Amino acid sequence: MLVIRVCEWCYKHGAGKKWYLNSRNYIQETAEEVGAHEYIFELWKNFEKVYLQKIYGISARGPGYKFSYPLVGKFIKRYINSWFTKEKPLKGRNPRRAEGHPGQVVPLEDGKKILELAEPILKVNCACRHMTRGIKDACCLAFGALAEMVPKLPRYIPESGVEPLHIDEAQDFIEEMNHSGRVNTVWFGPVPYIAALCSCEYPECAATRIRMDYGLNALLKGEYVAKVDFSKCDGCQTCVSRCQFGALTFADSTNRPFIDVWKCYGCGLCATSCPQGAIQMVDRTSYPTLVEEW
Amino acid sequence: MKTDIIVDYEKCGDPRDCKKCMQICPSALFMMYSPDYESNDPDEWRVDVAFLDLCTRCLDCVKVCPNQAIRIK
Ligand code: SF4
Ligand code: SF4
Ligand code: SF4
Ligand code: SF4
Ligand code: SF4
Repeated sequence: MLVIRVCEWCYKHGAGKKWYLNSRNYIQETAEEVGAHEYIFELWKNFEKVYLQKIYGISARGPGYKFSYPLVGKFIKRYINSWFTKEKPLKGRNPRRAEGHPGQVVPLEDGKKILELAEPILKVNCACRHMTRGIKDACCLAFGALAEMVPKLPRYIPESGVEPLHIDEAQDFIEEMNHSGRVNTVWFGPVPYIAALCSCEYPECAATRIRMDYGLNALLKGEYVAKVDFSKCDGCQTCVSRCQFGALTFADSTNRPFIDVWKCYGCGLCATSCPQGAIQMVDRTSYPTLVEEW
Repeated sequence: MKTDIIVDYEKCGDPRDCKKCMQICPSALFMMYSPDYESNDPDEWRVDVAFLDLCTRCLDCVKVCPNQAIRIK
């Protein structure tokens, strides 16, 4: 059984902080060490193909074995999971298998901190929504090496063009996304270089789908879990519609929301919607039983 | 119950001009793809259901298709 501990990522790539708050993971030097430009170009160029053929098993020449649960047996699952977390070699991991390209859910506040470290920041079209719904939605924020490769990947260029965003514009943008119910996720490309901050939704998001429905760890749970302060909560139910992970329900008997911390991904959408400020995001690692729940 | 959904690519034509099935499916099970994603060749673009085991057989896609290109088994 493959146990993935994000603590391990923070330990290895966080320099004493959370992995995505280590400025070293955003700089050009790191990009060059891991060959991020070539890697990212190949992965983004073939993004749909990577998902469809390598992960879902559809062939571009017609339907192949297709993705069905019995086929994703333990072995295949473990095999595919090992691609996302692959850390070696530093340079030369296979972008056509998304090797070293996992992501993690982040709450709004951490998303904003990420945007202070990334440079340049470019808004690009979401590949998942195009592949599942045929719509072009400029909601992914591409950083550094990925941003530099975007002009060579025309289908990602939004109608608004390739003008980089200022930090505050980018922060306002993810706040808007949060209000409209999008979950922020941060992406290695490849580990430990950080390539993007996305605004995802289940079921369109490819990574959320394979995580939620097939247990594939392309996307990991966040560093936090939500906790309700029952004394501040007035039972208004605003938070109820915010959870995409099936972790939050409203309990009629207590007139308070119930959060199943085992299911909570730490996206913070419930917390940012609460008019009373009754939901806090608590460090996952402060619960001894949750430290291995990623 | 095992479901198979077959899209007749001859009848469908260029899914980029239509997208009705992908947009109506309540569970977002369709995928639109091409061997070359920057390609503009209509023959290269296809839609298909990727997650057959999640299909509820609601038939929304079959009903919405203007070209009767979708068959469900
Ligand atoms: S990860 Fe999220 S925002 Fe990024 S391409 Fe997929 S759905 Fe879009
Ligand atoms: S309970 Fe709140 S923080 Fe946890 S996954 Fe649901 S919306 Fe996100
Ligand atoms: S939004 Fe806040 S006050 Fe309203 S039910 Fe949820 S936790 Fe309670
Ligand atoms: S039958 Fe319904 S659930 Fe199945 S693919 Fe068609 S629209 Fe989606
Ligand atoms: S609804 Fe029918 S014609 Fe339209 S894209 Fe789907 S299969 Fe093709």
